Amino acid sequence: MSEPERAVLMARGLAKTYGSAAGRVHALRGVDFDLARGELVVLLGPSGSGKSTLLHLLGGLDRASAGRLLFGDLDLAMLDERALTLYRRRHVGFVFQAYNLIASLTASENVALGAVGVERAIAPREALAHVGLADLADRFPAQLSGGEQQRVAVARAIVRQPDLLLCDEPTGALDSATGVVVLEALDRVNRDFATAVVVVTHNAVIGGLADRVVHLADGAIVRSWRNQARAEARNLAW
Amino acid sequence: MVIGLLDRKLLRDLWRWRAQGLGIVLVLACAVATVVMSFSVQRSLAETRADYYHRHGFADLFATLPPAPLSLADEVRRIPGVVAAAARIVGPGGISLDGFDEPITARLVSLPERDGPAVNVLALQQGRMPAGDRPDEIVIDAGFAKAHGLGPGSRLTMSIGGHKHTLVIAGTALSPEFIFALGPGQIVPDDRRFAIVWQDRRALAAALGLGDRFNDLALRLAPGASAAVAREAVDHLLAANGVVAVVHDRERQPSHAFVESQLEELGAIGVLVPAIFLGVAVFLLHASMLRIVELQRPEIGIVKALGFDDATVGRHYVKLALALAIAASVLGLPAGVGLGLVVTEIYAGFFRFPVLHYGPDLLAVAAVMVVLGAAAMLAALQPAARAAALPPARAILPPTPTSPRAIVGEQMVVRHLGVPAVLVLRQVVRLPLRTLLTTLAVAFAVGLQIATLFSFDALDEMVDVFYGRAQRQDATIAFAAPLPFGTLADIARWPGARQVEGRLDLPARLTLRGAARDVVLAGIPADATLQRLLDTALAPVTLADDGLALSRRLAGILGARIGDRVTVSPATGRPFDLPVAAIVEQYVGLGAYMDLATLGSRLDTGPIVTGAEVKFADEDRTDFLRALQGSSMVAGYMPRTATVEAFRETMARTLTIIVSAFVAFAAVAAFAIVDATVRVALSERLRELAILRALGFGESTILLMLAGELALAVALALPLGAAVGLGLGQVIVWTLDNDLFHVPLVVGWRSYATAAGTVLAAAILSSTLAAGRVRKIDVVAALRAAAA
Ligand SMILES: Nc1ncnc2c1ncn2[C@@H]1O[C@H](COP(=O)(O)OP(=O)(O)OP(=O)(O)O)[C@@H](O)[C@H]1O
Ligand SMILES: [Mg+2]
Repeated sequence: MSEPERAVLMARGLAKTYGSAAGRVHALRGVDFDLARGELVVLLGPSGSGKSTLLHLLGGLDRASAGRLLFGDLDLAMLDERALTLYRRRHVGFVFQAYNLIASLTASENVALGAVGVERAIAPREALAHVGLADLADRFPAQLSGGEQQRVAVARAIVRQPDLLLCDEPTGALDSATGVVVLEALDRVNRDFATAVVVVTHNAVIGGLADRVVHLADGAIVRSWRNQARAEARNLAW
Repeated sequence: MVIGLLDRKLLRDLWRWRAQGLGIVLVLACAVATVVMSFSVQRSLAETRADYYHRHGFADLFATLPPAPLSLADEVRRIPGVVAAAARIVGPGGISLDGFDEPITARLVSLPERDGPAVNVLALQQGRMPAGDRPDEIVIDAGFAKAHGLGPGSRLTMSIGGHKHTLVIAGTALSPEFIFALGPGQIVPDDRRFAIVWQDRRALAAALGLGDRFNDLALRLAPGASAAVAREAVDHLLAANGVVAVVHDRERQPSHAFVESQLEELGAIGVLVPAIFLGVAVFLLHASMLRIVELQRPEIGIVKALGFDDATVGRHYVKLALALAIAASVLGLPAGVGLGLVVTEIYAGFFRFPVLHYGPDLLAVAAVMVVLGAAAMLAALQPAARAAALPPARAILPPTPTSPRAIVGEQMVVRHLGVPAVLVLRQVVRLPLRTLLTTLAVAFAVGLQIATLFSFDALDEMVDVFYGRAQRQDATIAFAAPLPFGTLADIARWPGARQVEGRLDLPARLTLRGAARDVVLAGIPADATLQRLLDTALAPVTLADDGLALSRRLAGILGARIGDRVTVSPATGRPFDLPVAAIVEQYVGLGAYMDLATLGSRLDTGPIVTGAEVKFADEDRTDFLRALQGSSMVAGYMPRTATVEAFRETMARTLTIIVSAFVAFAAVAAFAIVDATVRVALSERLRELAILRALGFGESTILLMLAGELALAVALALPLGAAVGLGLGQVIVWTLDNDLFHVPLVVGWRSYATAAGTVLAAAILSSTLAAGRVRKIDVVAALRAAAA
């Protein structure tokens, strides 16, 4: 499909080791990974293969033990905590498996939280409309279904128009039909804003949505391929 | 191993919560320590005194009588119930010491006969008892000896019966009769200006011209014998022999009464304050348990979903509370026992007990364990019931904010301060229970301190009012015997004398509608300026010519109101009636006043005075004192500054000591409360904070949010805490009120500032520590945990 443009994110030899008294865990062992503007990548792999770890590193939530990670000219390893925070705010949107909404804020306020301090942010209601939740803006998380909550999380991630949207098993807790609605939202964001999207999942079916599918096993990329054509989210089922 | 697993969770929870738990444990431990300390001190002092009284044969009955033949004492000994009777000679004397230009009043007491009855036996501290063939040897009380650096071998010049004697100190001693030596007109002991001097009976009799007679009886009664019955019998016997005597039991014995009132005050505050501590600790435990249950909702849901029944879950939280209580006991008990020893030692030094029996109050230890255990269970009951009642399906959802409605002005906050500010606001408004608990906890931290600190302000107020505004003389003089009114004019002619006002202290019984009280009625000039009376608003009042002024406490005892006619029955003389004309504020002692001239006219003796208030020119002080020393009529001399000093000193060594311990505990508790509150709040928000961090909010924003919440709670808690402190203070003041001291409820700005300052310092320190934790928030770990 759309030919990948200039890489937004470039990882070389990225490694992550968790040290503990019991021994060392090599969660990532030297991963090379590029992400182009407007690209949608699906990360697949068995449990414990390092998917979440890679996502956390890409999003500046955690630091690599070794390797380089460049965002444009920015070397994330060089950034201090404050700069890393700024990186997250300006360039990254997250969606997690557990919805991670703040219970005491309404849907639109949760979304507004994503817009704080970001100049190019769109209006929270617009972001909510994008995921089809304009009508539920004033509900609290406890008053929303799981799928709705996850779409609020997506809205919160996109309200700032991030360069990257990183999603860790966004449909993991949802049934197939609800999952599809969330994926549609992600797909729309990717197309409308040309946001680079990485979706981590166990679900190989979702790979059909991607420009590129990357397979992780035991902390390393073992396979990677491009789809000839991206499937429509609404045609997916599992 | 179903139970085993939950217990393991309990232990892990405790470990994970050790920082927050430590605060709660510390507050509970403070409560335990105050209880154990306070009761151990009281018990040890009471036992030490009882043992002292017992070993040294402290008398049960005392009689002062005109000189009587020794044979009369033998008759007294035959009264049933009387085990021993010491026939003694007691008389006034004066001491002049080189380098101390003020007159020193002495009370001379004849030494017990070598083979005589064991009554009021001396506890020799230094030197030896006077030799039988040395009439010039004396024993002096150890307090006076220490105050002036005297010891065995020192010489004293004494005036006894109008003659000068040079006497040699053979030894210093303590006596159960003079644990506190209170001189004429003294409310609090002053070791520098009053001494007890023991001398051989024959030598003293010779000096006072008493020959083979005695003028004082000290009786010991058989165990269990009624003092009232024996007193009646002694009264009867003496009267039958034509002797007019004042017989009284221990209650009226000045030293005993003083020790008793001090122990009573210790007892009152020593029960009340620990109870308050315990109450606050239990409240905090309760609040913490509520929050822990809230915080663990998802876990409760999972455990229940796994099939654990409600009772098991409920029990789990009761166990958690008990574990905290046990940890508190482990900390608090040894602290209380140890501090109790330190405090008891300080008191024992002040109370001048020759030996000290310190033992932790095991009953209090057991009681506090039971109370704490019960309180912990009680505190855990509601939260545990909540946990037990939580339906598993709801438990795994985050707590729903109580009202989804918008708060007034919220949108404005959003617009101007942003979403994080609204998060703070909503946290406070939408979770009112949490806000209330935080605010109350901090308010208690403030209140506890005010309730303990205010005693220092009250003390200052007492000194300021009683010795500043009411008493304005330079010195009070007590005469050896009542003198005619005209004596005042003589004193007014002494060099340097500026102003002299007479006073007549008359022991009398006041009766009103069945209520009666023995007091010393003071006659003072209606227009007295050196000893002023203050009304309950502390404004000076003028005595009515023909009316009584009663101190508030005395009026309360008699149930007297303005206009009531009170019957005044002087110890010697005819009774008369007077209306109550004024009720006056007096923080020390019970007071009854009337016009000096009117009182004189009511007495058979005519106008007499027993003492005088004087003001003299500072530059003529030496000359004035010399005149005083030269005068044989003066028995006591109390400079006002010395009285104030003695008062402060007494307070500093009684109430203040235990109150200081309480103040320290209150400060520790305040820190612990605030810290626990901050830590719990942080734990509650950890997941949210991790989300915010993931969204790219900086540390400073998150810290500001936390600080904002805390600042709001503290701002609410400060005034509330002041109110709590005043309330607790009022209860303490009521409890402390006795015949000797009426502690006013006065809280100075310094106490408010200290209480607020401690809480603010604690808030800042805890926030700083919390900042460290925020900085260390492992966003990835928190999110992983949240996703799990
Ligand atoms: N804090 C940690 N300490 C030690 N090891 C860790 C830590 N976090 C993750 N790991 C290990 O790192 C490896 C990769 O974990 P990661 O969460 O990235 O896997 P994943 O591919 O996301 O798995 P899943 O599909 O189950 O979510 C795992 O073996 C995991 O046990
Ligand atoms: Mg994962």
